[in-house]
Amino acid sequence: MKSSLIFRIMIFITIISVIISIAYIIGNSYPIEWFFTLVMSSTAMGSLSILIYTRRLRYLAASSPHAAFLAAGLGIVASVSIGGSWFLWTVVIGMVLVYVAGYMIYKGVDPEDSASIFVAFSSSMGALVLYYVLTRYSYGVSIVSIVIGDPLLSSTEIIAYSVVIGLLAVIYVYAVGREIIYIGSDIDDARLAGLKIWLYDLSLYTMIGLTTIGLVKSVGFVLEHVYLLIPGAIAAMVCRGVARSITFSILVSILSASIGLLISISLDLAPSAVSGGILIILFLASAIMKGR
Amino acid sequence: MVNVHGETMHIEIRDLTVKYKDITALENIDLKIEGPGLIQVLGPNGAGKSTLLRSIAGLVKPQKGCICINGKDTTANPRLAGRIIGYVAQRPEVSKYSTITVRELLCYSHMIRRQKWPRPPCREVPRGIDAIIHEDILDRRLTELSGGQLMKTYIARSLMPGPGILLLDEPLGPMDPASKLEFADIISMLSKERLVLVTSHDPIILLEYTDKILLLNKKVIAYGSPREVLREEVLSKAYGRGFREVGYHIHLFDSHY
Repeated sequence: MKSSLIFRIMIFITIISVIISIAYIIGNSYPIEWFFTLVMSSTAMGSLSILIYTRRLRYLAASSPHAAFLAAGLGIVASVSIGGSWFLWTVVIGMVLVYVAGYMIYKGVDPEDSASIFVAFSSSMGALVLYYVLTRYSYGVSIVSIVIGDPLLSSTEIIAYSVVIGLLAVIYVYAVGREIIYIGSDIDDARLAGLKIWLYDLSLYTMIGLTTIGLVKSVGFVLEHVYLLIPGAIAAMVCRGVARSITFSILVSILSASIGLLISISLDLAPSAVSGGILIILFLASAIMKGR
Repeated sequence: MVNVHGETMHIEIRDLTVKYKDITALENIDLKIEGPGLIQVLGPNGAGKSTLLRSIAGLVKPQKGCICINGKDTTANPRLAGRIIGYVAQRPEVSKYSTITVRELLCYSHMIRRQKWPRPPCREVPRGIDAIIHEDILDRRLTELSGGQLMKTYIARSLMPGPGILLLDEPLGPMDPASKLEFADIISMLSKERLVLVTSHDPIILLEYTDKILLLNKKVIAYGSPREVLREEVLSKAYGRGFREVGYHIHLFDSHY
């Protein structure tokens, strides 16, 4: 099947799924915030996905949810012992961790090596901190949502953040995506053209960090990997051309989130997990269609 | 020296030394190169051919020395060097997940050089590349191209800013024999109005178009006409026993592949 036809079908299916999902939520008097939290979280990650692949930052992207896991635990400890918002502590601590990982890659440490060290450190420290929190504070529900995600329990702060970061990610990708993809395709010529590579890399690290860390409670750190990496992989299999693949990746994210939410509400299942499952089904379908 | 458009093409390298940690890639290079014309850069593996091209492009920071292009100091300044030169790396790497097409690569190369922000969209491929790449590959992804097509695409891309100097790092490496001959003609055409530096492990294909040969082995071993450089006593200084003369042909035993 031609990629342009698949693209048109995807636009059509996505629009239909969004309309049905919203109609079902409103019709059954569920909070519409659920829809916005999951769809915008998914959109934020899906829009960055193509840039992650082209800039060869899969290892950083895979490390970032682990940074979010550790930061979320440390955020609880900091907010209880020092005061202030858990969410703000989590974002600040998480961003520091992501910048450390990004700096290692920027300075030439092999991405596989830096990701291995970083994931090992953040996972073990994260588990240690969360065990400490579980045994000393009454934060059981929060910790479950950090691990498996629950957009239905999101606070107003997180709902607003999801919408803002989702829109910001889409604007960011359409504003500087071409430059980042060009850097990924020909870094030497990008330097000769006068692009400040470090600035574009820093902006991408920042967007990856803000997305994964800020949305850890609504998506869950386990499924953030799926949301970040699968839409881009599907678009890379199906699409030809940068603009089309970015749009396709976003459409895949919106589609999986809206159908996922619909199914999860109907069958009382975990919304993030169902959306992640739909992404996997779309990935396998694309792979079979492309004969891979 | 100027071309038909009145553009100067002059590279001056003074006392250039480049090291990667403890390994010396180039040592005390002093050289003046003028164009237009085709210069082949020869030398064994690790002789510093790629490093020399990258240094001229401003992509490498030397330990000492400087590089002036057309009278401007462009040492370790790719932004300034990029206004005058085009550069194609040895075997450009493309992520297997990259969806960028040939048309987009050429358009984006043109687009990112515009200083206005936000940069305007670029839908039309700039003119003048049809002699190098066929129109039927414009909408293919880079990942769908053969090694030769990919190299031609990157060379077409390097011509986008209209450079007076072109640096090509082993452009013939990934090509089949028929493509090499076709491509030799293209390089010949490009070198009529530009100064073109080409690194190579096989000087014969481009020999009839070559104005000068630069023989390197961390230092400049020889710089002169093919007749002056391609002689046993000169080549042996760079290659040791790593070459054979068979009739009029020279075989360099220095496979990269």
